[in-house]
Amino acid sequence: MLLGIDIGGTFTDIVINDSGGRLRLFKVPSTPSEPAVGVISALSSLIDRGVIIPDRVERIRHGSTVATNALLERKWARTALITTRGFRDVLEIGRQNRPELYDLFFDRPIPIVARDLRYEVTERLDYRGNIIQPLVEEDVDRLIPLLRVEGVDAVAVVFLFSYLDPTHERAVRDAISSALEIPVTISSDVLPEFREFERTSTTVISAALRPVIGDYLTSLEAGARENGLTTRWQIMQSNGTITRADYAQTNPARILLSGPAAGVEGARVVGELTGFADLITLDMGGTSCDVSLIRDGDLSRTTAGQIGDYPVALPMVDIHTIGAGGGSIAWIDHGGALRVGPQSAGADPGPACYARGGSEPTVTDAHLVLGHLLPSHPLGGLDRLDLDAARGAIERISGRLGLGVEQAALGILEIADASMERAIRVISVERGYDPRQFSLLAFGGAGPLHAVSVAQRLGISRVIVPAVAGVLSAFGLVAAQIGHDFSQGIVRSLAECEPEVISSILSNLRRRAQAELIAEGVDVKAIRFHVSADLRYFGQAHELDVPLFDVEDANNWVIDTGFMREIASLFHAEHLRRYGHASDEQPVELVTLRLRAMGPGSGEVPRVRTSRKSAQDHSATEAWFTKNGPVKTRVLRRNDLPPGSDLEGPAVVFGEDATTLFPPGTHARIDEYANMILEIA
Amino acid sequence: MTRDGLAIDPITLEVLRHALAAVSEEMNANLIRSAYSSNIKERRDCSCAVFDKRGRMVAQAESIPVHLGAMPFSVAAAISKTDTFHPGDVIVLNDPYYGGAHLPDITFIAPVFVDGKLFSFVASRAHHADVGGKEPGSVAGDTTEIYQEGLRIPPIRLWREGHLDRDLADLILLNVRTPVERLGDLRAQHAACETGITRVQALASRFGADLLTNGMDEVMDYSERRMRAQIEKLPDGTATYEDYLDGDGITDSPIPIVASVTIDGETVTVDFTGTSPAVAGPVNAVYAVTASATYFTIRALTDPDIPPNAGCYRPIEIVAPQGSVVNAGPPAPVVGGNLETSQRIVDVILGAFSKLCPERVVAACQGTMNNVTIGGISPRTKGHYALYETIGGGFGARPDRDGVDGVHSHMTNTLNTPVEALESAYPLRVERYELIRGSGGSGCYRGGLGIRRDITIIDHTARVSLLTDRRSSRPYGLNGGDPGRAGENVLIRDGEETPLPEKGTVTLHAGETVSIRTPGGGGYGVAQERDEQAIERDRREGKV
Repeated sequence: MLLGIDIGGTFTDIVINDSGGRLRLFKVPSTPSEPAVGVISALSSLIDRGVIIPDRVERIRHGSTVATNALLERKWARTALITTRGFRDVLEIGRQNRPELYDLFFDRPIPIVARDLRYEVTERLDYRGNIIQPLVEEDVDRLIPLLRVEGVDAVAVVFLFSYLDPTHERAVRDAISSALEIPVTISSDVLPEFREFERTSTTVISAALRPVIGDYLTSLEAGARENGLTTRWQIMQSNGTITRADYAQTNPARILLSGPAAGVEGARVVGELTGFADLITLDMGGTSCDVSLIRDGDLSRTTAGQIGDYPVALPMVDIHTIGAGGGSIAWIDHGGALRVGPQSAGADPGPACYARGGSEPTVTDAHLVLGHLLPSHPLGGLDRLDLDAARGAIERISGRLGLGVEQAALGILEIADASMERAIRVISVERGYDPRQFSLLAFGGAGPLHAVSVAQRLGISRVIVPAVAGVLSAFGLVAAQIGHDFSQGIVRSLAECEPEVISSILSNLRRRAQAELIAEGVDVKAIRFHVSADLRYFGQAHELDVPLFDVEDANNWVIDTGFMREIASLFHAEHLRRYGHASDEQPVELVTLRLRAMGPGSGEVPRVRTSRKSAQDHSATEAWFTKNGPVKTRVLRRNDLPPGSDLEGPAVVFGEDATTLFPPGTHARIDEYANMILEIA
Repeated sequence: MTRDGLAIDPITLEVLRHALAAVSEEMNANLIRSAYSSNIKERRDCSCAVFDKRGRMVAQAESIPVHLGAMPFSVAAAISKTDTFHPGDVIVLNDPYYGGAHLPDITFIAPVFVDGKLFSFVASRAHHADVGGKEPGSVAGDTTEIYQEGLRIPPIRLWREGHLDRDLADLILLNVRTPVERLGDLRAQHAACETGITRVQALASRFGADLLTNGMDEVMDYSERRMRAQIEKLPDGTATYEDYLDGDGITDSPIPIVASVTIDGETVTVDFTGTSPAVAGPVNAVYAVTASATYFTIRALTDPDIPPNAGCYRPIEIVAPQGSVVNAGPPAPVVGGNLETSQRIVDVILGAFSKLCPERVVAACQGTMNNVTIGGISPRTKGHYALYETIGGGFGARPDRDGVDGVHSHMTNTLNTPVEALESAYPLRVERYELIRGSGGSGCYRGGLGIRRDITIIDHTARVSLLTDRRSSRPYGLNGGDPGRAGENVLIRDGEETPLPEKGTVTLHAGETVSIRTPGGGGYGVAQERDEQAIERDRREGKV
């Protein structure tokens, strides 16, 4: 038995695979003030009901926004930062830019370590890692009593060029650790790569969250143990792979995107099962919409991510978020244009049709007015929706627009779709990919309502709605692979890099990766390695991550001069593909070597309960898809669509927590895992 | 708001607004992605825009505000110089007296054809790391004629019906120090234009050419309505403010810049009468630069969310006397007009607004970009190198909070070069990069702190060009706040400090250090009213 537990803002999703290989899905309310409490009480009630049999639970996997929330809510440990002399303000100056061009009243994110807790010591390396100023140990000795007096709970150490030689950082760590009982985090462990500000930011986040995340995971495990669940927990990392709880505890900067990464990983696994390796994911909930891109069956990752304006330079799933969700409010601006969002009615009071005091027209109200949702169908924890309230809300703007209620509602959806189209163009066209060569995989409560119309705008001809669309993140948890990312900064002309040096760096990364994965319980023979390099032309400020090789057997690596030449030609080719030009004569610089080690996937497939009966028309409604008026539209339940069946639009298919809209001209087939594959004419 | 007379409905308006903005953003993203030089790729000193057939700007994506108002003049110059456009033509220019801003900014203008007819234009502008002239990097602080600042390119057809004119390209590339990089960046700008053309054509086929044309008109009118509604909220009146550039690099006499702002209902007039005549050194601004600075200021004071296009600027009138330092004529040198004078123009406009709507206005920011270029022959590669940097400083205090420490303000927002990147690429060492204690003007709210950045020359002799300001004048405080501390340029040799010029070029030897100390921001309100806790925090953090 395998448990996947995903804590979201409103609901906590639990996925259980029972011994029969069938997935069971549960949703319970989240407890944001004390996230661990809600999880433990849900587990305990599932045990009481006999759904979870503690002895049979082999693994518990967890995705959560706890680290992100702790970062954004400033639940930081009192952290000190120690830097090279002359550079304690790097953390505060950042890249010296401001977040908004025209806002004279902007604020920078507050530095996680205030200036009075940022200390300097005398030491210096040059750009080749040579020590040009040895560490002055008296500086460190003087610091220790200061750290004690200041009562700091965590220390971060970041020296210039430490990715080339960590000796000084380690010496400071050892000196502090031998005198004080506080965790010391050094940048050459967290992120041995160049660019001091991003490295400092990432290291400081890691240091400041260690105590918080440690407490959280400890209380989760203790609570589970009290309920007879003795297995160690595993955590989803921002890069879409799973690690063990104690690794997450010492590397909290690696789990900041834990929740969203699980959803995208779930999408990838569904894509693998359905045979579609190139996907754009659309996750639309109540307040926002996340989009990301999967290419060749691999998630897009970035090392230029930010969490709430704090840079985190560790690999994380590249997700673009916009303020368009079911609760997004429609309004008319001073210029007379109809706008949708970014203000949202959220879950409380929620859309007008929730009849909980919301009176502004929202995207969900528009769907209800147009017949895409039915008053009698449960949504957002409510038994029914108030159609009159939805109409009333939309009338607040339709009159001013000189339009009928349905026309205005169609306008609201068109504008929401336009902003999603723009978001998808950012992660596809602006990154050099043609969205027409991808399938759109929609999930989240509102994603499948918009999927077909968004796909049409982008020229995408296929939409996939997973069987587990409402709990895809929790499914991603149970299905994901165990994995780790390692890197080593170099920043040197490729021509000057000796093959032996590269070989020894990679061997070192491999040894560390193997050790971690063995500690996760992965069979050493089952580890798969993916090696890539960040490369650029000398003088460029921006590097390209170029895949070098994928191997199953680590003993098969041969790094010789021939291979070094191949690295250059792989780079030229990738540069040409991405940017449209390349230059064989230009010297190439090797900036960073990267190694990802992965264990096997869990092999979980989303087999959910479905009816064996073929689709029966339960009812029909009148739904609007175009300005030309309503058309008769079939209404079905997702459970009524057994594997192998077909469906023609117009239709509305209600699931437990997601509704899928099939406009006229849409043809769908239900695959063997109950995923809906929609083909758009 | 009446909806009568709208050629398109409010829903289509919003959809087209998204679509047109996306075109300029995709062009800009493509330019940044495919560019060669760090100036474009990392510092993002570039912008892209869509224009209608008459040359009116419909949508723009800009990374820094100096590009805001300048492109329409380039497109106008291209249109007036060109008899007939053919598909695949690209007009290229950089001359400030022919639609440009300063010579390093090269602008591309490409016609878009739909159904065989000229339909619109797309344009891209990027700051090139070198366009020739007397010093590497083409940002010398002591030029006296534009001819010293680099190669001047009037509107020329660099691509004819899709083909690069090799003769013209060779002429350009022979006149710049880093031709391979230049060609790479020029091709990136070309690629950005191609993206724009394809996308505008796709929109025309999706919406129909007539609807798209109407949509362009409507999007401009929409911005105009929103801008008028914003200006309407400001109190009517006239106010004048005067401030100074320290000097032009040739003489040390202060250069007065005067702005009189008149708010009248839904319109604003900014009149620079009283401003100094053009000067001998390179701080003259052409009209396009003055327009950019004016547009920046009014956007910042109203609603930055208004889509930037020609309509947005219709309610704004600019009066810039011919031959003045804010509307110079040839052959006045102009490279610093874009970089330094543009900042002071913002300062004087904000100063005037502070008398009309004080609650919206901030005290003076550092008022300079602190342009530093270090160049020479690298002992590592034996080849030429040129590092160009701008350095942040203090942001002015606000009516409700302190200024921000160590940050770029107003007309620029480019990223720094990381120390580890800089030292890996150049034979230089950064000795410190830190905030300057006490440099922010005191007040009820404190001005932001300036930055000190010290760079040492390693194993060679280098030329250091400085183009900086606010080294004698100080960023003003408001409402009783003190001015920020002035900046300093210093040479450190064997531990001894000697002053370096504010603008000019000097030779530094191995082991010598150039130390740039940037100005702090002005304070807001009287210091006696400052919150005790804020005073204590500043003291604890070593900021005062």
